[in-house]
Amino acid sequence: MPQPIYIIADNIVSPLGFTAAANVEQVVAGHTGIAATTIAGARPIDVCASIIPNHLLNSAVGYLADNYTRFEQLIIASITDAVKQSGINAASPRTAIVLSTTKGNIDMLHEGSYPEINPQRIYLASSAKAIAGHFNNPNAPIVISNACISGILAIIMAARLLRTGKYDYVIACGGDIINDFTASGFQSFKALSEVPCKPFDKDRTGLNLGEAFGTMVLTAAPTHGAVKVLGGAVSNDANHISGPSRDGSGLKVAIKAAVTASGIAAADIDTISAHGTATPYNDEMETIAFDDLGMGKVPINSLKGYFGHTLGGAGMVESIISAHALKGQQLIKTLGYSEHGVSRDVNIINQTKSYPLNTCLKTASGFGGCNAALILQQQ
Amino acid sequence: MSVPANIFTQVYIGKDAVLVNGLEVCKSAENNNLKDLLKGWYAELGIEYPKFFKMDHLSQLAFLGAEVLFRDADVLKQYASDEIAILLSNSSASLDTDKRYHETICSEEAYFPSPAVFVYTLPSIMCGEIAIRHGIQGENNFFVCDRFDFSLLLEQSDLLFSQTNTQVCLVGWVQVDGNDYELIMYLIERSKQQIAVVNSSQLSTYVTLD
Repeated sequence: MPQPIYIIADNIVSPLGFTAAANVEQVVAGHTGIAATTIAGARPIDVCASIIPNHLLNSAVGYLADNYTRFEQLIIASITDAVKQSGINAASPRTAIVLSTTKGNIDMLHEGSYPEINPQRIYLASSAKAIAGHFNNPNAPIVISNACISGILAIIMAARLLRTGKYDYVIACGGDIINDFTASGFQSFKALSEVPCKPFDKDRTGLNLGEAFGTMVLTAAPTHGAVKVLGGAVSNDANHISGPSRDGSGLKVAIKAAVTASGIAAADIDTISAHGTATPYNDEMETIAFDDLGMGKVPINSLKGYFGHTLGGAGMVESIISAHALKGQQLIKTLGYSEHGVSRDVNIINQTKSYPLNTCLKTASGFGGCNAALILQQQ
Repeated sequence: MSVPANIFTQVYIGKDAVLVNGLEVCKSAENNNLKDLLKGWYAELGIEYPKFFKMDHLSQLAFLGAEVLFRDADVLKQYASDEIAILLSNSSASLDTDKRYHETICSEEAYFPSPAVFVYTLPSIMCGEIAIRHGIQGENNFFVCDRFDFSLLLEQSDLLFSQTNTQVCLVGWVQVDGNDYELIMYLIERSKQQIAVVNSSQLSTYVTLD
């Protein structure tokens, strides 16, 4: 059995709250951060999206606003809470930071957006260095930018690094801000839903964008009561850069490799938290992959109905919710799903309820044909 | 490295030249315009891949680097598609294309966002383009660093060799910022022989085994 890695603290910053506990509570209660909103820009875009209200951001980290961008403030808020909870020394050279994002400080493309901040911070490594510097961490953060699988990748990276013994702790974090850049782009793909998204549903029409930042503090030191990361894997469809392989073959490669890396059998998986973006193609592809791998009866959810698609944050935030669900022995329903709308007869969770759970598979897929799979287990 | 590995091919594209293991494989071009350089190399290498012309400069550069890298090496036949990994990096992510895309949305009168441009506003797309061209289904990642960090890429390859079934890693740096560009790629393969300690200042030197 490969060495398990332990999640000793975590945080989520989203419209549902600024701690993991607050977010879990809201999700279990069936509340969503998605609402009708307008994304400002040369041409304002009316969407359903899950945007972190500025007043929440200001009250949490308003003191940072002069020196850090929105993206940086949100990541710092998330890391601060997780580190505090963990009790670790973030300034230690034996602590590494792994940061995942797809677009970082993309709002800096708007001239004059941050007159007090060094324009070099549009370069991600520079931004990451500023973030690490806030915590006096001496190591160069590892910055991952691998589309929508980035959040899961930060966790996989942390686990792999910790197994080498090079670090005692890894702070893995991920997130993305939403602005006109991303909103107009997804709109040009006709990938957005005009209503709150409906993963796996017959009437699904697309995704909602969202902002959610998540952090895990991980260690290889056995920690009683902590949810474990057993392993993960990444693959590529090698098929198309903006749509998944119809047969889910690339995702299957990642899932099988994650299962092998974790020292479990596929049959050990009790629940799946899918990528479930609610686009016609993604949901169909994922459920084909799960079914082909014999997981047709395993309870599956998508958490996109609570947070929207949070891009670089998605894999991290959704893994954190899944870890809490494992600990709480709860299935979390797929908010937005009511009528089965994928061709395979898979088991989509439609009610939040107590359920015996041990092992969870978390998946994600992204532009470029990338796929990631992660195995979590509660003790 | 905890797992013995062998760096066996290097590609360098910069200063208007394409070099494989230190030797020029394209006629020396003298051209300040990156767009024409890329098209010229594509034609000279005799590549037939129409999708090349849909790519942004970053993906075109990465594509060409991988093309000559794999022509030099037999790895694609020796290993299964999921045993080959792609680990690339740069400092500007996809900023070059981000700026182009931003120009299409920042004015109300000239508003024309296009999915064909937007899709390239992620640096990891270049990994996808390489994967599609060569049928590679293994691990893949993209790192944003402040400068070319070979020891990071070596360390990441070692993580894959020791913890996954990856047998060979395409690693490198692919940077485009307007007309400034640079590409460095290596193939690193699991082997029985111990790797030599690599000095990153020896970028243009073919690294051999002891």
